[in-house]
Amino acid sequence: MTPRTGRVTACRRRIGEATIDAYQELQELGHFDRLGLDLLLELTGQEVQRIPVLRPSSGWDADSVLDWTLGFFAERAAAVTAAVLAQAGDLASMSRFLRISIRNFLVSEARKTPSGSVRRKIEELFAATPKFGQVPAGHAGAGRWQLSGVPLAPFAGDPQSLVAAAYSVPGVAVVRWTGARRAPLASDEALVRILDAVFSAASGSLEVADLTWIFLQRFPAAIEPADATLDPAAFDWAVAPLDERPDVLVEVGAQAQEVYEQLSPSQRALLPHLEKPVADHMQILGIGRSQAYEAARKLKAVIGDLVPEDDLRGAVVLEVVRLCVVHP
Amino acid sequence: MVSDKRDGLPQEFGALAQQAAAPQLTESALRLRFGPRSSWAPVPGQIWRVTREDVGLLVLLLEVGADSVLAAPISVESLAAADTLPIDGGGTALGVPVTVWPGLRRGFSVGVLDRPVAEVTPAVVGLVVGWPTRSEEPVSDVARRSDPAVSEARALLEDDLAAVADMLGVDVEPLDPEMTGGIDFENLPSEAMDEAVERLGVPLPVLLDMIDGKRISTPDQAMIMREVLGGSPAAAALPPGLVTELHQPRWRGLVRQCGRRDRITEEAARTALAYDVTAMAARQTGDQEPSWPDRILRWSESHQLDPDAVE
Repeated sequence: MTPRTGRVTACRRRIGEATIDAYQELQELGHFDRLGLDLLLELTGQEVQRIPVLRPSSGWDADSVLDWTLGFFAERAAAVTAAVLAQAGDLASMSRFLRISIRNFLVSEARKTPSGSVRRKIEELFAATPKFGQVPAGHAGAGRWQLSGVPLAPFAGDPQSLVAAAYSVPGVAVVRWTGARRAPLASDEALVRILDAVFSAASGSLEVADLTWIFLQRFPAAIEPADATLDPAAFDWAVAPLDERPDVLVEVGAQAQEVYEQLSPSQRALLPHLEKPVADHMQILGIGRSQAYEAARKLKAVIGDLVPEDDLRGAVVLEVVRLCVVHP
Repeated sequence: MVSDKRDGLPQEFGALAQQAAAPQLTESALRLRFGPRSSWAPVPGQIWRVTREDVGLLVLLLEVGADSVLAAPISVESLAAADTLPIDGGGTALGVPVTVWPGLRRGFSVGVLDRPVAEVTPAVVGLVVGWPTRSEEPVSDVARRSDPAVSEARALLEDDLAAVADMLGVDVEPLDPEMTGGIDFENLPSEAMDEAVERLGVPLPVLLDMIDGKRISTPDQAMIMREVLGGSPAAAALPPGLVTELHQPRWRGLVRQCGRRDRITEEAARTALAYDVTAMAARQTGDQEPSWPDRILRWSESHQLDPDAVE
């Protein structure tokens, strides 16, 4: 039942005649110490390998793993200390719990990585595009943004409806963020059309932070927890860029390629098998039944959002599936 | 480079670790609070650690029966959603925010309970018991309203719950007498004993004891011996009262000690222990139904094992 990827090897030391492990150290002291840090470093070093978006430009080394380990502990030290003491019974269950906690933390960090650049891009577009303006002082929501015209009240509806409006804009070519390559989300022209559609749907004013959130929903970093449990060979082909794959010689539909680029490695592995029983999904992703249901549910929703309901839909989805099943 | 820094604990890590210390949750502190293992009796309102293999999680007990409990899982983090009940750090002895998942409550064998760690107020139990069950609210609606982190946490928890709840019980049925019989050692292939050792997962001396009848075989073990060795000793029926007693958390430490000693899984150790205690009781009391807690204690004393030993 240990999650796939990596084993714990070290994290024991001798004290006099006895050898203690990280779990026993925690039980003795009531807090993490040297063996606990060793365990966290080992687990973090294994888990970061599956999150390419976090990879430093110079590659992973001991210092960058230590930075992420400290980052994890700074945010979750109290919760993981209490949780391990309360619910783990030995080193194996401690390691399993910490591995999942570290993975969730890294996925969460990867998902918010691009927010700064998205925010700056939105502010740049507002500054350069007269069709958008700020609500003037003295009106409700002063300082928020809206389509130029009479001041509008702050939007107070369901934010998901604005995400749907952002998805409804056709012909948006996406460039995925990866590590050192911080390309724009899409062309400025396409982004302005999306902002226009979102403001029209809102019929009100919005803060830049709201728009940043909407853009991050529309252009999510393709990170899923199941990426970490994917079989190593499947992971390698799923993260290979299409233009580096010698098998993709034929010209693929641009729309299908855009969709493919927005899927995470585990979603690419799962898509060709989406109609199969959940037992197959569990096997492919290396996770349990409920997590497999959740992964399939989310993938269906993402495909539904990314591929417009038109005559080409069936062909586009088939082409995305083909991209996902072709091996390098 | 890390080794340089690890020669001494990084100052930042040490300070964070000290701030996050939870001395009230160490085994010694919990022992002071809840007493020795042999005195534990599950009660509604208690938060228990449940474990199976390397899966460990916390559950809030809602109802306690003779051999099963109804319990809701708890996450040690604050997760706000339509189907969660967050409790702040002051609400339990854990000292950090936790989240109860009332919709995921389910029945467990009492055998999965490992140790009590905290309690909640009766008001919290009442809230959880009165929560609408999952079937009254479509799963997809719950999932759709949640943010991804909550959906992922819920799915992971459901899988862990299923893994723990899947714990096998002890088979009380005797093996079909037609399936047992003598082993023809003269015509036994030399590699058969090796295969039997491997498939049974026991050392050779244990296998020889089982063949000689010095150690009673479980039905599963007898079946494997029948397949590999062409025969097996008969397996006896187990008294249901003993099986129920051996699933109580007060004996779980003893079961694990047996498992470690014989290098077998906890479930196999519980079954083997049940057969051993049955055999010992039969020799001592004949057909009369014995006091199983007394018999288990006597058995552990005769094998120099302590059910209250710190593991």
